[in-house]
Amino acid sequence: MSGYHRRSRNTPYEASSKHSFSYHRRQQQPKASRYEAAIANQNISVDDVRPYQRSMNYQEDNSHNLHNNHKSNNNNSNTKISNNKKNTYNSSSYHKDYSRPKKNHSRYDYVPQERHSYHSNPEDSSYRNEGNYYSKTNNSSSRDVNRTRYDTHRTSSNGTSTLTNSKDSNSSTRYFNPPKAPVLHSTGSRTNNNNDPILRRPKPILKYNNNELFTSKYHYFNPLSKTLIHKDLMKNWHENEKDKNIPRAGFILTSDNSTGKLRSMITPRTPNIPSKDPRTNRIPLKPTRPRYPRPTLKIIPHLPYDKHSLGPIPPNEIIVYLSPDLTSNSISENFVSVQPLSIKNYFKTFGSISHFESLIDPNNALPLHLFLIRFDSISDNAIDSNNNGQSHNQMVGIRNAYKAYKAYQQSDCYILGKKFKVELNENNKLLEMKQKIIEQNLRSSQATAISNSNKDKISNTNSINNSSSKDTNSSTNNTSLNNQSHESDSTQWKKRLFHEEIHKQLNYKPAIFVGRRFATIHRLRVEDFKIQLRKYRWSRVLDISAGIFVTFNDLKSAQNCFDMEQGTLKLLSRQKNSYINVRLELVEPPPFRRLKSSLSSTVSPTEKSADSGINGKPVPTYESKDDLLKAAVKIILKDLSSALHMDIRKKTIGPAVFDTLNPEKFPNLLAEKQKREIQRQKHLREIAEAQEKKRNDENNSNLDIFQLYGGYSASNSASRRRALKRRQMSLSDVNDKKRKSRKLNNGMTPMSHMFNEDESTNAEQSLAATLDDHYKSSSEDDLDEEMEDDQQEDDHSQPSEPELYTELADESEPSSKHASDDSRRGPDSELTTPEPDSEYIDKKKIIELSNEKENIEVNDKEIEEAQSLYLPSTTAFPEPVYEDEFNIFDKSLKLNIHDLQNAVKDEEDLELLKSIVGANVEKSNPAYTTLIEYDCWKDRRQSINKKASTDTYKLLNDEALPEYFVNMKTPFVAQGMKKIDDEIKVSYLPHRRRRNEPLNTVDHHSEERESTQELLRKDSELPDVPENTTPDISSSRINRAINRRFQQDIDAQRAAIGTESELLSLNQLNKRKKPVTFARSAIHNWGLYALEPITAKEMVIEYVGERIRQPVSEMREKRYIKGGIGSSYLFRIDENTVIDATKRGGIARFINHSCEPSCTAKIIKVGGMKRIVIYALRDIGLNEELTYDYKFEREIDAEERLPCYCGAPSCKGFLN
Amino acid sequence: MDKQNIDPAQQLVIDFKRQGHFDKLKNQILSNNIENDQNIQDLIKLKIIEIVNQMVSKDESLIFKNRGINSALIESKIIKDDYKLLQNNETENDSTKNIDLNKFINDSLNDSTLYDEILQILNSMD
Repeated sequence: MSGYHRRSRNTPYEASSKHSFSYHRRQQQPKASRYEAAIANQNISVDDVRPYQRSMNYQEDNSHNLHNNHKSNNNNSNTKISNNKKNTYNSSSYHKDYSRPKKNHSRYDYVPQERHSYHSNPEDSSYRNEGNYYSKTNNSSSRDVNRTRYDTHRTSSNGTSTLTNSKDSNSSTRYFNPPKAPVLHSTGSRTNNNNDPILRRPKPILKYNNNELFTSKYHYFNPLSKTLIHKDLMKNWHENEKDKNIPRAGFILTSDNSTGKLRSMITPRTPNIPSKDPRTNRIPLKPTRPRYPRPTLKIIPHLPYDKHSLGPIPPNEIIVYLSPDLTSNSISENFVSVQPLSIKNYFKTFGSISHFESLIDPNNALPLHLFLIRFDSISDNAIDSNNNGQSHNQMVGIRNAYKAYKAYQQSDCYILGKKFKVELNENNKLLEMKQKIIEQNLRSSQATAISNSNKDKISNTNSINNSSSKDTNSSTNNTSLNNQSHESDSTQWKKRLFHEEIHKQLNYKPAIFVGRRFATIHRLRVEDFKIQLRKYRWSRVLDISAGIFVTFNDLKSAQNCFDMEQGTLKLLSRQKNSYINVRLELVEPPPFRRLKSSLSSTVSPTEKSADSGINGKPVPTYESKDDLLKAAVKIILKDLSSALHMDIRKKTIGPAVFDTLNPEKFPNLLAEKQKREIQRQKHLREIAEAQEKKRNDENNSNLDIFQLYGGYSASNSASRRRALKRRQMSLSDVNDKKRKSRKLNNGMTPMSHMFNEDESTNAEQSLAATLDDHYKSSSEDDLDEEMEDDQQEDDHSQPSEPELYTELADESEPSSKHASDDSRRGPDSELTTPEPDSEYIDKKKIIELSNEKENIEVNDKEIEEAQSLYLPSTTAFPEPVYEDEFNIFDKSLKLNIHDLQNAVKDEEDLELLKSIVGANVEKSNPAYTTLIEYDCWKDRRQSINKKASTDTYKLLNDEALPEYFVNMKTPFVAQGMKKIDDEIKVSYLPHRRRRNEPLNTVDHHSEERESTQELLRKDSELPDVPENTTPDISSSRINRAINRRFQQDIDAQRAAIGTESELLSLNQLNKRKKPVTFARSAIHNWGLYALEPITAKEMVIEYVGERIRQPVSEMREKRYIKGGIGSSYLFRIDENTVIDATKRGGIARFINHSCEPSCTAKIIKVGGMKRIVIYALRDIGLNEELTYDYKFEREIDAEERLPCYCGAPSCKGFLN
Repeated sequence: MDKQNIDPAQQLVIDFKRQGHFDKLKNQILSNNIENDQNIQDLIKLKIIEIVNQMVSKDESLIFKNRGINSALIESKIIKDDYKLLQNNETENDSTKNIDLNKFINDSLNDSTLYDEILQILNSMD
């Protein structure tokens, strides 16, 4: 700013101070005219000036107006202008325009006078040099304000000069288009400034007034001359525009979406049309639903009192008082005091109590049942100044008090049955309540005092009445009493005395009476009284003709009730449908009855009146001893009768009945019952035996191991008796029974007892015994045979013949008889070989014996059969009578004497034999003879045994004994101690067999027991066959489904119980287990056998054991080996878990290894846990040993390899 | 318990009983031989045996099952209706006569001799 040039005071605008305009505008005032002059000089039309296009049109108007104004105000200077412009100006419009600001204007207004004054001020030539203006204007050139200013100045020329005088051009405005300062309405401060010349804006001064600078290309505005330079270079934009479409007035770009694509449209400006506020055009809002008035106030949550709260501190004390509700706390119960301690404890639940007070009545020191409880935590926290002076504990107390109060707003507070009310102790409510209650108590006490006094009066009169009534002793007591009652106080109730009968009905008890008429009018009922007087100890409520009586057991309670209810008892009258006061009367029991005897003075009145009996009955008094005695006797008799009855019942009838019911008293019945029992048992036994027989028949095919070693031998007698071809008799049930009923060893005697057979008393056995004796001497027999044969040959009709026949017959007879003995042996019948020859040997003896006996009875049938042998047969070639058992000429056959004997079938054969052998009886050496006998016997024995054993062996093994044993020269015992190889052991030890068909080593122990149990049971009802209760499950799938369901039931039950009880833990896999058992195994020690046939691909059993981790299993393995457990029972589930069944586990651990297994192991998941399960690979037969492939790793070390004894054809030889 | 309020007669009775006269009398009555050297008890027993035998013949299971319960049931049946069963005479058995127990008791009690006896005792007591 170069300086500040003061303008003269006589600026025309000062005169028109009412117009407000900015300070710089004042300064510019003269410039305005200069602008106009400049414009006028240059003859530039408004429209030519480019940048100020926008408000050009408007400016035109305004400028006109301005000029108008200007002119009108300034006389001297603006004449020219005014002359020029006069016609164009419309003063009215001019005025109009300036009444209020135009809308598309800035808020600045135009001051025409100012303009004019501008123009008229020629003096101000110094403005030219002021650069401020320039700078100022430049600064605000972008704004509309300045533009308008410029415009106004510019547009002042409409081709005509607007300047007043050219000479003033410099002073008024040196610019071409002097800016017109807009007028500001608003600020009042500026107006002041504008008026004050000191505060006016200094005029602009151009510092660098180089023409080069200002004539440079892009400087449009010359601040000094205040003209737009380069105007000639500038063209009107719309003239040069090729596109004539551009509106002259200007345009704005809008985005148009009409064609679907956004494109910018040229919208021409319409400066003429005043624009509207687009805000008013917006879519009006949807009419909002009317808000319905709320019926209730919205409940806002309780705002706790804290440091930010204003107002008084809420109370932290509560008042607890007895609810004045009549229904809950009746007056009578108030007398029962409530323990204040219980109340305190009750409210402790809300918070810790710092102070508890139970208020008492100062008048009578009785509790008011009014309690004050203050909640606070009892601690010494310093007062926190932040919390408005409240300590934290107090806040807690406030909260707790409020909680307690609120809790009992909704629900009632019952403590020990009494209803209490809880209130907050605000504004010292407590004191008020206290006062109130005290007053109440006072009043009530006064009232009671009055009523007590009344009562006393009543009781006095009552007693008077009583005594008076006792004096008179007539039935017409009523009148006298009534007379007396009249005498008494009028306030007293009438004391009625009722008829004797009524008293009788009342059972001579005191009662409260309500008149009949009264009761019927109001239709009072017994129930009403019962309800209303429920608190009193009445005994009955009677509704009789005289009225309604409420009887009591004793006078005291009657009087009490009477006193309480008299005057206050209200009952609903059904007639009036409202509660009415019921008038009561106390009825006292009449004077006590007397005994039949007449009045006597000995009776003391005191006894009468004072006493009441035990049950309220009057104590009877007796006038004479007789009476007393009589009464006593009566009582005694009564007691006697009851005692007699009792006695007879208990001591006579009862025991008699009981004794009579003794079953022993009814022997016939008992006998019958026992008979029935026996029958039943018999039946049961039969069934059991049938079952067992069935079982045994099944087992018959198998060899009975216990017979193998010949532990028991059938007594030879029996064996001999079985010597008949026709021994194939069927075994009957009878035989079974007989067999069962015999000794344990089934009639078989141990070998060592063979010699005892001489002692047997049995006729058959004795026969056998003798036969046995003779059996020892075989040579004799031979001789005998010879003799017999000779005899036979010689003479059929010899007496021996019939004896022979009888022998035969006898032989056959006992044999038929002893077919039962055959059955005894059962499976053993095959053990001992038949000895048909022995028949002949025995014959002789039999004959002898038979002579003793009377067995001459000949069975005709037998004879015929025997003879049939010798009947001639019609064949071409002679056939031998007996078939050849063996070919004598076969040299490989090793015959023993036994066989030879068997070959000799009859005498003819014997002859032949003799001739072969060359048996010369004469040449016989006696010494040799005895040895021969022995040798024969021994030989025979050996052959028999050997045959037996080889047969058994063959049965077991289907092959003969190994060579090792057959060709043993020296006996075992002599061979010394040596280890027998396993292979050899296998051959003779049954449990070491390699066979797949195991022995029946499995003891069907349980099944046997069942049947015996049946027999032993006495109380069983039905002798039916014990049924198999479990249904046959044909499909294992169904079975599994059933088991799964069962498992689910168990789980549900366990869930119902709630606790993780081990009792209900169920191993599902147990259900799928096949019946298997362990027994000695041919493979190794123990093995697992199937008790029933198992089909392929079925689950057999689960390998159960301890579930341990991998490192634990390694450790255990080492430990077991160290400890000597050679067998490994560790089974791997996965790489981390192993099942160890060494010490704990299931029987699956007994399954042995085989290179050709029958089962395989799989790992399945049950209940989320992995388990090892054994499945059958193929069909497994009954009693077959289960095996599976252990799948041990191949060991390199030869010592580690374990040999395998599975006996399979493709056996690898080693386990690993 | 009010000692003074007991009926003096009652008190007398109590004393009477305490001294044992009551039981004596009772036993006396019970052991009175009614006929043929049989007192009431025996007669009752016989009768009962008869009754029970009848019952058992109808239903044999009575003997074998639930003896205790059955005996109680039979007992109550006999006592019912003033010993009605004892009065019945279903069987032809002459050995047992009908017993009217009630009557018997009443008669024995109303016996004047008994009465006098009691009086006597009472008098002696005082």
